[in-house]
Amino acid sequence: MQEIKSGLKMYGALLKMTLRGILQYRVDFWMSLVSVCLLNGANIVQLSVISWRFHALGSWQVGDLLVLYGLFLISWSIFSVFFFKLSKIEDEIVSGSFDAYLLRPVRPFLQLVGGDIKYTGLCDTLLGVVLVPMGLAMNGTHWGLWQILWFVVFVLSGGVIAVCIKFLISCATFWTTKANALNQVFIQIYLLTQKYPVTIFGPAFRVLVTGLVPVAYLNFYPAVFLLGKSDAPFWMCTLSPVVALVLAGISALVWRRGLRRYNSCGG
Amino acid sequence: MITVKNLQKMYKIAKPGEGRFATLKALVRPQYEERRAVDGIDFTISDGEIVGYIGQNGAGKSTTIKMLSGILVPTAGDIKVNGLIPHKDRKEHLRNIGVVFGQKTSLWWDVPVIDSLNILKEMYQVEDSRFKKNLEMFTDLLDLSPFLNQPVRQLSLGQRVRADLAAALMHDPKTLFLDEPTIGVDVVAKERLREFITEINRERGVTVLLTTHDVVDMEKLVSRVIVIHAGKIIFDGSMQGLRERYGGEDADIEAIVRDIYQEGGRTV
Repeated sequence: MQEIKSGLKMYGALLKMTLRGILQYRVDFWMSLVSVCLLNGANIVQLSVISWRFHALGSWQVGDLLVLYGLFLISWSIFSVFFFKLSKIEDEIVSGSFDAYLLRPVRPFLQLVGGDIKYTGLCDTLLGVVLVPMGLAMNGTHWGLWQILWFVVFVLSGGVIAVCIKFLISCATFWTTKANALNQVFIQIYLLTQKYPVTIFGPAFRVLVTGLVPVAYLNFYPAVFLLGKSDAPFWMCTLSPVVALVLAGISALVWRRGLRRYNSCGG
Repeated sequence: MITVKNLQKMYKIAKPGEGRFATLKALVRPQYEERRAVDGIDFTISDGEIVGYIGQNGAGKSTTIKMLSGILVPTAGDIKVNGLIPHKDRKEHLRNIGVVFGQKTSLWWDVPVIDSLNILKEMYQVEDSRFKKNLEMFTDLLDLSPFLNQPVRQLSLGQRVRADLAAALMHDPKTLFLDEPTIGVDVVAKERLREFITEINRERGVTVLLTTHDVVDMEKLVSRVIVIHAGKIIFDGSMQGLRERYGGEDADIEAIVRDIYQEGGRTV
């Protein structure tokens, strides 16, 4: 308990300092914010063109697709705003900053997480928060308290899953000295799942994004559950928090082994 | 007090493959090369000494420093620093030591120096009064005030090393490890760094182990040198002793060092 408290205090202090560092680059701050909003705008245009041409993807109406994309954005932004640095272990090791983490009497994980905050991710959060109710309105659906509660559970679990996947890929650096190729493969996968329902890509892909790299739990399964789709069994969709917990456990283990490996062979 | 007994470090270096899917391949079947960086060394350093750790690039200096500071775990042998085993009693050990790598800063790049010092105060839980006293002293001795409020990325190398030194000493460590602290620093700034290290050693009794290629550092700063060559210690003693053994009474230190780097030294 004492450790959690002092850990949070340390995290707060680090974050405060990091923010002050970011605000030193004012022009960059605004440019990044604008560019992320433009990128999101482009994504929406693409989405609406496809939906307008085809009216729907399989049984997924335009409103459904907006909810799907919105869910992805919100969960993903939990990673990109608060835990972005976890995906940058390679850079930290190459630049030598990783040694500095090991020289201070504070957990390296905490120093890593506290070392960056990606405010641009808030653009994603915002867009997601707008898209989900917009999609629901287009469908003419209303959510009760129960659905809203599930929505929160899904978003938080999705956030944990996103963080863990990026973190695990990044941890590959400890063994391979480079994690970039792996990350590229992952980007190709999630670019598909973020906007389109997994079912249109066939069963093999579905197994991949459910069992191996469970990005489908960021938005597909939650959307199936919340929108009452028949693409997947009900119980499978509710596994989201379990997947998040398992991944978090694996991540903790891999991180510890990675650190031990770093200790034995250096940068 | 630092004791090192039969210390060894073997590196198993992952060989990065070639081609498009090198990373994936390396994940499935990693390939390694082995290298013996430190090959059974022994030494003892008493409290209050300033020891120079000399050797060619790749001789094993940095590896030794990294093991002493707990970043690397030895392959074999024992290390005790102030009675603690660095990689085992990690947190406690880190509170007792300060480390500066001349080649890279341990400060936060984008924030003013003073912010870095403040966060280190939190990390090491330095008391307010102690922190204030140290800050005053270091600001004075290292002349930090002109750049205390500048972000680290804007500092000159000399300024950066001074800031790093202050940062490493904020928590009153008993032992200071300096890995090439004077590298790339101009003559005047070097002189100031030497004065500071001497002062800290004299006033506070901080034990200092430093690696350097600078002959003046060896002659002016340290009271004892340990020479490592190809992972083995080939000399441990005073500068005078080094001269007598390798070059004779009035031999040029520069020439002696060059000999040692090139072929492990020619004994007279």
